[in-house]
Amino acid sequence: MDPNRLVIFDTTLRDGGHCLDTPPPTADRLAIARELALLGVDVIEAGYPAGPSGDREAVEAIAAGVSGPGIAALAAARPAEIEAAAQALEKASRPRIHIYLPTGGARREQGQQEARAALVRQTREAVAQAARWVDEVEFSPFDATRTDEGLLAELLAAAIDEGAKTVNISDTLGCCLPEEFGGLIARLRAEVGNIGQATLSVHCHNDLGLAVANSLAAVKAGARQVECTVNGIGERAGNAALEEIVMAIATRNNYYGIDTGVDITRLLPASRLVSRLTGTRVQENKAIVGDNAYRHRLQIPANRFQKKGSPIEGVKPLQ
Amino acid sequence: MESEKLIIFDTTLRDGEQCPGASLNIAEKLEIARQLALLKVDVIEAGFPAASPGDFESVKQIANEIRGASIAGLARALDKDIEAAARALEKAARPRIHVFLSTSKIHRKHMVHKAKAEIIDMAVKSVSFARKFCDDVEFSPMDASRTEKEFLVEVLDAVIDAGASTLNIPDTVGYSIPGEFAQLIAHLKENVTGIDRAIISVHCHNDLGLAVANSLAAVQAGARQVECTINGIGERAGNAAMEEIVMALRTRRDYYGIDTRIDTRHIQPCSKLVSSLTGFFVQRNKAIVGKNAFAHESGIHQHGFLKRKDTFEIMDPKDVGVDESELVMGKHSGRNALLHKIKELGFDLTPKELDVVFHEFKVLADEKKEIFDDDILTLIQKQRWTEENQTTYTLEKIGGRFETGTPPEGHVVLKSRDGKQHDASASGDGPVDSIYNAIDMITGLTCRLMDYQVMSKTRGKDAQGEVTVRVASDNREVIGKGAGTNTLEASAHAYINAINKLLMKTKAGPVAPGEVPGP
Repeated sequence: MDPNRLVIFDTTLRDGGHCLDTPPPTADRLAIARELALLGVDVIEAGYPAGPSGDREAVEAIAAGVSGPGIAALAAARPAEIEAAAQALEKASRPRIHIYLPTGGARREQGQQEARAALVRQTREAVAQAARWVDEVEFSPFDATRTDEGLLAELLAAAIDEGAKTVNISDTLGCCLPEEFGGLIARLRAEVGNIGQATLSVHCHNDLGLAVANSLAAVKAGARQVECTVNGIGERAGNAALEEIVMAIATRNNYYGIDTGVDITRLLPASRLVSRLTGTRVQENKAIVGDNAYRHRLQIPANRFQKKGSPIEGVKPLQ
Repeated sequence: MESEKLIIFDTTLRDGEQCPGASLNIAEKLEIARQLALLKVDVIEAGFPAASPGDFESVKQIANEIRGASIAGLARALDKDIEAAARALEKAARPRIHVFLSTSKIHRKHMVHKAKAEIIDMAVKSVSFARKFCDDVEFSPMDASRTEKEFLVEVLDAVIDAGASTLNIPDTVGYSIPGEFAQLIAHLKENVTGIDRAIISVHCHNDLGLAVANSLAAVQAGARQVECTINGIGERAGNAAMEEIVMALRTRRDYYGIDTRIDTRHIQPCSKLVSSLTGFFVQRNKAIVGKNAFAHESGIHQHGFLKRKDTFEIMDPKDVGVDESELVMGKHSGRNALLHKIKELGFDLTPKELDVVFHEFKVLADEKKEIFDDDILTLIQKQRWTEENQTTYTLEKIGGRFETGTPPEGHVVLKSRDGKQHDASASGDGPVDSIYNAIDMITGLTCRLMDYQVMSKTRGKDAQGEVTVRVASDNREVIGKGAGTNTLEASAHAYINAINKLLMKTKAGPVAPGEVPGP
C-alpha cells in the first residue's frame, strides 16, 4: 500500500445502477466498464450477483471482458451470496468480493452482548469464506456512521483478522458532516489495532449535498480508498461524484498531497457515456462535467483571462 | 434560550442569472422574487442595476413590490454604480447596497490595475458613499479566498469603519476546501478590528463540488450570512445550493445549533419555478430537490432488511414540500380546480392568462388521460414563453416529408407581429434540422444550435415532450423551450421561442463588454 496513492473504487454499475428505472443491458454495462478501465479507476464494482436486479450475467461478462482494474462483486454476509459473487467473478484476473454486513438492525439491540457477538461471528465467517475464493476481500458494515463505534471497531478488527484487505465505512444515509466523518476515520485508525494491514475506504451518499466533502475529509484523515460513481449517480441524491473527488485532489494537490491513477482527460468522455447509456442527464452547472462548468458570461472577452495565470478559474477545463 | 440565526442571502436573481443562457425577463424575475419572499429568505439580491436598463428596471420593480425581505442591489466600487443601485432601491422597505471590489493580487494586477493603497481608498470611499443612501451596506472583497490574509484584514478593518455592516467573503473561483475556508473565517473573526459590529458572510462557488461544504464550514467558524441560489444555479459550476444548506442545518441541528427563517415547505415549488423559468433542469439525483432525492426504490435496502421508514429517512419529504399524493387532474377537472392547482404551484395568473391556460388544459386533456403537476407547469410556461409583447414570430403550422430513404424536407408557416404570414421549405440532416433551416430562411438570422434536448415531462406513453434548445447568434446565447405531445412541433416552438428572445435582447441593447462579473 502506497500511502500517497488513493484507490478509486468505482461503483457506477452497482450503487449507481440503483437509481435507474430500468437497468441497462449487459452490453451497455460492459461498455461503461471498458470506459472506466480507460479512465484508470482501480476497482470496478460490476454488480450484485445475488441481488434483486439480476446483475449476475453482467458481472460475469465484465469479469471476463475487462482487464486492468480489479473487478468487484457485492455480496451480503451470507454463504449463498458470497458463493454467487465468487462464481460470477471466476474469469476476472483481479477479483474482489465486497461483503456487506447489515448492522443497522443491531442499533436497537446494540447493548446486547449476544447480538454483537453474533455480528462479529457472522463477519468472521463471511470474510473467511470469501478469502478462500479470492485474494481481495473488502468488508463493509452497513450504515456504519450510525452504528455504535465500539461495535464498528470490533467488526473491522475481526474482518481484517480474517484476511479482509479493505474495510469500508459507509455513510449510507448521507447524514454525516465532513468534520464528524473525518473524526470518525481518524478514531478508527487509532482504535482498530490491525488497521495497518488493510486499506481504509469510505462510501458516501449525497442526501445533504456533502458526499464529496465527506469523502475528502476522510482522505485527509487517512482513508486511502473512496467509493464513488461517475456523475454522482446513485440512489436518492446519489453517491460521491468520482470526477469531483479526482479533480479536487488533482487541483489541490498542495493540500492533499496524494494522487489517483485516473487519467483526467478521460473524465468527460466517461461522464458523457454514463449519461447516455443510463439515461441520466447531467445538469448544466454540475461541477467538472456540466456543460457550463468552464463557461463564463459571453460578455467577458475570453482572451483577457487566457493570457496568464487565469485570474478567474481555479480549475483547468477538461479537454 | 433562543438559538442563533443564520441570514439567508439569495442571489438566484443576480449571480444565478449570470450563467450563460439563463436570461430572465422582468416578469419572470418578479415571479421568482415573490416565491423567495414566501420561502422567507432574509435578503433577495435582485440584480446589478448598473449593468443594463433591464437589470435596473427589474431591481426597481422588485424593490417596489416585494415586502418581508431586504432587497439588495449589486454595485462596483464606483459612484455611478452605487447611485444606480440606490435609485433602483428607492422604494424598497429594507434596501441594501452590495459593493464589491477585487482585492486578490492576481485580480489587482490583471483586472483592476490598482495598488493596495488605492484599493483601500476605493473601498472606503465607495462604502461611505453608499451609506449616504442606505444604512444597510454590504462589502465584498472579490476573490477574497486568494487575497493575502493581512491585506484582507486591512481592507475589512477600513470598510467597517466606513460603515459596512456585512462583510462578505467570496470564494470566487471555487478553489477553497472546507477546513481551509473555515480557518480563513476564524482568522478574520480574530484579527479584524470591530468585526463584532458586522456580520461575516460567505459566498461560495462550486467548481470542485464543495460550495455547500465550504459554506457550512464557514458557518461553523462564525459566519452568520450565506449567499446562495436556488438549485445552486450560477456561473460555471454554480453557487452554493440554498436548499442543501438549509436542510443540512435543519437535519443536523444537533451539530450546528443554528436556525434559518426559511419556510422549508416552499423549497420544492421554488426549485421547480426557478428550473422552469431559467431553463436549467435539475438532475434527478440532486440532493433535496432532485426527482429521486427521496426515492428508496431499489437496491439492497429492499432486499430483506430494514424496510422501516424511520431507519431510512433522515428528512421527511413533506418538510421540503414534496407531496407524495400528487393530485392528478383530467378531462373533467374544472376551472376552479385548475386555478387552485396553479396557486399551489406558486403562480399568480391574471384572468386573461388563466383563460389561455384553461383552454390549453382542455386541449391537452383530450390528448392524454392524466394530467400531472408538471404538465400544468408546462402549460403555464408555454403561455409565458409566447407572451405577446415579446413575440416577434409565432408558429402557425409545420409539415414536411420525413420518410425513410428520402432526404428530409421541412415546411413551416410563421406569423410575424405585423400579422403577415411567411412560409418556407428547406432540407436538412434530419426532420428537426430541416424545420430549423426553414425557420432560419424566414427570420434571416444566422443561428447556431448549441444544444437540443427532449425530455418527457411526466410518465406514460402519451407524455408531453419538452424540447429545450440553446441557440447562439452574434455572441449572444439564449435558451428556448417548447412543449407538446407532437415532438416536432414542440421542437419548432422551442426554436422560435429562442429566436424571439434573441430578437428581444438585441432591441434592449447589449451590456457593456468587459464588465467584471461580480463576486
